[in-house]
Amino acid sequence: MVPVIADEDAPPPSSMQEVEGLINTLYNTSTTPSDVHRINRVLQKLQRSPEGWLLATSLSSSANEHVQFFAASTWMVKLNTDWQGLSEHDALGLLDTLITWLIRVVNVGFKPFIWRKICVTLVNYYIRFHNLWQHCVRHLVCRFAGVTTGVLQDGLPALPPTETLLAGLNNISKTVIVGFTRTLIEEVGKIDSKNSKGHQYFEGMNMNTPDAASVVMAILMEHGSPMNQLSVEQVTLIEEALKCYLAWATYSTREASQALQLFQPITRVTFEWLESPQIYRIAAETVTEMLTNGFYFYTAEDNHFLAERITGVWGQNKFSQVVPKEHDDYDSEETDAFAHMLVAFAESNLKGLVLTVDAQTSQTIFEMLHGLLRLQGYPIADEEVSNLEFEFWSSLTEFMTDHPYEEGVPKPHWWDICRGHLLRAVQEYWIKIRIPPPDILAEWFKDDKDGFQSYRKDFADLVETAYPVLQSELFGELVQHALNQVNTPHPDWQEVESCLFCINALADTLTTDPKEYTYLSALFQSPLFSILANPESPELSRTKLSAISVIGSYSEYFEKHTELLPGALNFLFSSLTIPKLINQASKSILSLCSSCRTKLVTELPAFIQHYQLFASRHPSESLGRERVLGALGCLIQALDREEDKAGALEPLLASVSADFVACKQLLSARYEEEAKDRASLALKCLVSLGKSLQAPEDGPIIIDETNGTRKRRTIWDDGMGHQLQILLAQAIEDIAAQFPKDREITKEACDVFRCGFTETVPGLLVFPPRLVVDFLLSCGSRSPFYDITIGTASAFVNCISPDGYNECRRLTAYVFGLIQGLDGPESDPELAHNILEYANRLLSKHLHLFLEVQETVLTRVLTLALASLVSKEQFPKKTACAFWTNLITTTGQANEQRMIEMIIQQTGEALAKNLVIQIGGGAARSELDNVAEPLKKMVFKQFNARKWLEQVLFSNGEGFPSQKVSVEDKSMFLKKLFLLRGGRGTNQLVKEFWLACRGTEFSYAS
Amino acid sequence: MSALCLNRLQEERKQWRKDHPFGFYAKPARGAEGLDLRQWSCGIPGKEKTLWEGGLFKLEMAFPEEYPTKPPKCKFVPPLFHPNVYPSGTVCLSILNEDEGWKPAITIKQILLGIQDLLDDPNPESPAQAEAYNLFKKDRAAYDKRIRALVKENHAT
Repeated sequence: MVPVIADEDAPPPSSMQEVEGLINTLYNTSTTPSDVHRINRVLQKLQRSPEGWLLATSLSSSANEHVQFFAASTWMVKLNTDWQGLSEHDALGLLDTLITWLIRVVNVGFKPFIWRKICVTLVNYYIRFHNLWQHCVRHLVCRFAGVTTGVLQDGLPALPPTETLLAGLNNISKTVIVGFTRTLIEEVGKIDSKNSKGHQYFEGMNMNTPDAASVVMAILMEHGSPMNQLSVEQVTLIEEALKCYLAWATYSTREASQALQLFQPITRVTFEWLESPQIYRIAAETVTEMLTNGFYFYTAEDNHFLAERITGVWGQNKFSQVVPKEHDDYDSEETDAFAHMLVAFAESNLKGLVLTVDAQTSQTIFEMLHGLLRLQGYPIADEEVSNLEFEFWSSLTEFMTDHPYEEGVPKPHWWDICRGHLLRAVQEYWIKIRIPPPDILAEWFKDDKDGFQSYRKDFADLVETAYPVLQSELFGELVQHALNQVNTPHPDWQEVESCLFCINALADTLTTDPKEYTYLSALFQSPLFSILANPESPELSRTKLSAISVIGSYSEYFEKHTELLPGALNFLFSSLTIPKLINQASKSILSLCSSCRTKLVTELPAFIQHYQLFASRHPSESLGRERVLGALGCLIQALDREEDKAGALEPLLASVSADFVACKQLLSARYEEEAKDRASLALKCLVSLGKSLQAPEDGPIIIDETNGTRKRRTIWDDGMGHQLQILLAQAIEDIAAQFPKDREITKEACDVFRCGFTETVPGLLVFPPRLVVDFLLSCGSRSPFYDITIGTASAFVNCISPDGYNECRRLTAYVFGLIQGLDGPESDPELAHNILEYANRLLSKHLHLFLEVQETVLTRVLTLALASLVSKEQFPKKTACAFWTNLITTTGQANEQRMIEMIIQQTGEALAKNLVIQIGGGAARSELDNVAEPLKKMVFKQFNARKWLEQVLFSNGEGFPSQKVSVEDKSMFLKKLFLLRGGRGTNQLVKEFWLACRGTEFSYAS
Repeated sequence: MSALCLNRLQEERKQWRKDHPFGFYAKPARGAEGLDLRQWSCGIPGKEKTLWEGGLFKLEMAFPEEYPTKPPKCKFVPPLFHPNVYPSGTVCLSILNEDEGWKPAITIKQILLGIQDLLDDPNPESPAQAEAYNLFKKDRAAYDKRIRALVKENHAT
């Protein structure tokens, strides 16, 4: 925090010496932050004072660099704040002072930061007074050359040309001039040229372009061969000139200014400088920048020249220097500069490279790109170069896949060559993604590890993108590589892992080529998985993990090759013994069992044993147990006989019972938290089991046979299955009752019951309605979590058949009974929302059950639904909107229809009033579409709608919330509303009316 | 697809490949007819040092014909337990709303980073699902527990 210093009253410095003293203290490194803050405030006050101009002038004559710097900064402050107060005469005087000062500073040999600051000040001057200094570059050159004095610019054209004048200047003066020229375009370029003021600057830059180009050209051409040894000053000068070129060229591509023609000829000169070892990096950066961000600036000839340079003697030498073949050291910055330039060139010339792929130049470029991928070291941690090329290879692939394919017409010549390059690149990358040995990995920082992971994923993306081009050849190679290693006495497991990683990445991309399955068979039949199953080899865990994923990803293959299924699953189950692998292994087990359920039923007893062992070893491994139980549930679902299903479920339920027992033991030992976790785990296992027992979506559809014939009774109706259900429901009730105030347990217990709601065939978790309602009522009576209990009740109501109507009545009585405890929706918005949600479901699914509730109860429901419309709470409001929409549009038998009509006639006026309050500004913007729905239906269906709406709209301020719309506005709204007849345009109309009611000042902050 | 929409999506893809934040992914869906640029599948990692760290959440982005004039629709698949995610999975975020903060200049990267921010910093002003919203407001400990379980289920491997 900035210390509070009472310097407001501190006396200002009384002499220039004092001011200089303060400036020196300010820039002294040993000054404390609080003193810096204090001095700054004193000095800033001086700078801003009317005497600031004079202060700057007198400080600028100091011999002290800090004081000079401060002088320049004072002028900046004055130019920014007080420039409008300067007369033309004073402004011209200031320009003269600044230029004279700059020349003196340069001649005396002050450090660059002073003259740079003065250049920035001069550019700032130009921005304020460009009319007074139109030919600023030319004028500055002439002043430095001493061929003119003062600030009058009329005589400038008669003076010798800029390049002639420059030739007579020393290197520092030239550096200053080119530095000013660069700052000029950088700063002016920031001004928006679209408005008229900006356009003046655009014209101003066009006027200065010829001189700027002459300055840059003269400097870049002056030094003869770039191979000459340059002095430090010369290096700085050339670098500055290249940066200046870049700034003007970039400006020209953005603004399409005159600079385009005048700077383009300089491009080839910039290429020359690549050859100077001293300038190489900055020249390469300039080229890279132009290739990346200024596509249209380089002409075809420029690109041609650049290609020749990169692939010519210089480029080849440079390449072998920056990308050494063996383990030689290299300067990574030099390499990066080359790589960036090469990749940028390849990307921006992709089409040309591809279409001339067998020409020498293109070949060399491709070879260089491959060479960069072979650079030693791990990506990210050791080298950043290979990462750069992902985009190039992806673009190449896309170019190839975009090439129109015609049946019977062979692919063009270039296509096959490019395909070869792509395959090579994938192979080169594939070496790069190998996971380093543990000792190297241990030395990596987190960023390296994260970066490496990300690199692998990017490569997986590339492989996926490239597959349509490379097809089964790539797949075959990946498999073959892995198998070659597996078959050696000492396999390189990192290599195997990298192959498996790629195979995994291709799981969703395979074509229908039968060769792919042949390769997969070779892989899955190989000893790979039996070697990996060996528990003695912990160093294989990474490879194992990838192998586990591969099995899960290719479940479709196993569906067709069932003979390999048991082996694969045994491998997966054996992996459950290693804690690190449980997550992935259980995922793959679930994936395989779900896809191949019918093929695996014979294995069920063995798998159940595996599960029992796993559950006893890792009783608290929640996700793993849930998934494996889910997997077993899939197999049980596929059994034909209900008796077999019940038989297979018994041991699984026994394992869950064991959890319930363990939970109770923990409870009695007062380990409450642990007990809760165990209960939660057991319930989640039941949910997982229940979900997997559901008939698969693509399974056969059972036609409802209840019409006429009686449904066939099963063991779930009165046999051992039914007994199991009763026991299970009791156990769940029992365990849920232990934790009445625990939200999670309540939710999970309800979720177990939910699993059967949508099922059309009987089963373990398709409980009889009585058991469901018993549970929900006891749950509701002990737990305050209405969203869960009523939410489950709503889901139940959604699915019940006529056998469940009586149970549904019990449930409705309970849910609607809760309204009595509510004091309007705001007293418990969540409860209100859930009750209305329930009412809505009942209304739309079982109209007669809704209409048969007692009149007093019905009135309470309707009152709540009306009140919720004008509540501040979003959820009750939205549900109420849906409820009213539903009520207005619902249709039933004649007597039902009469009742609905009666309800609407009784509530219509109040409903209209509440809706108008909302669209008249009461609703939030995001609620408008909801509120518009019942309004639309009312307008369309209700004869009395106009009367109701008119009443509230023109009620003389009563009920209508806004004073901002006139009676005419309201009439117009009503007229349009009825013209639209509830059509789609209503939403927009409502939105506009709402905006008008809120007032025009309302708008979203952008 | 309009040229504007197509060009922009191609450029977005290029920019994403060149530079994307760590742990995220975003790629056009691959259909029988090749890439479908108007349908992207994305992954958003939970932010470091938040409850969401370690999770990776799948999201689908559907671009309308009028993109980039109109924003893409972002939908978590499966729907995510979060106060600002609708029960359908659709994300409720001002920058994704045509009437609010959407601007054609907003990139896919910015959208995904915006949604990542939203994960740990829900906006109670515009709730989209009752369950997560109510729990977030009423019982933060239980909410946090749900998030931790969610992260475990959707662990980035």
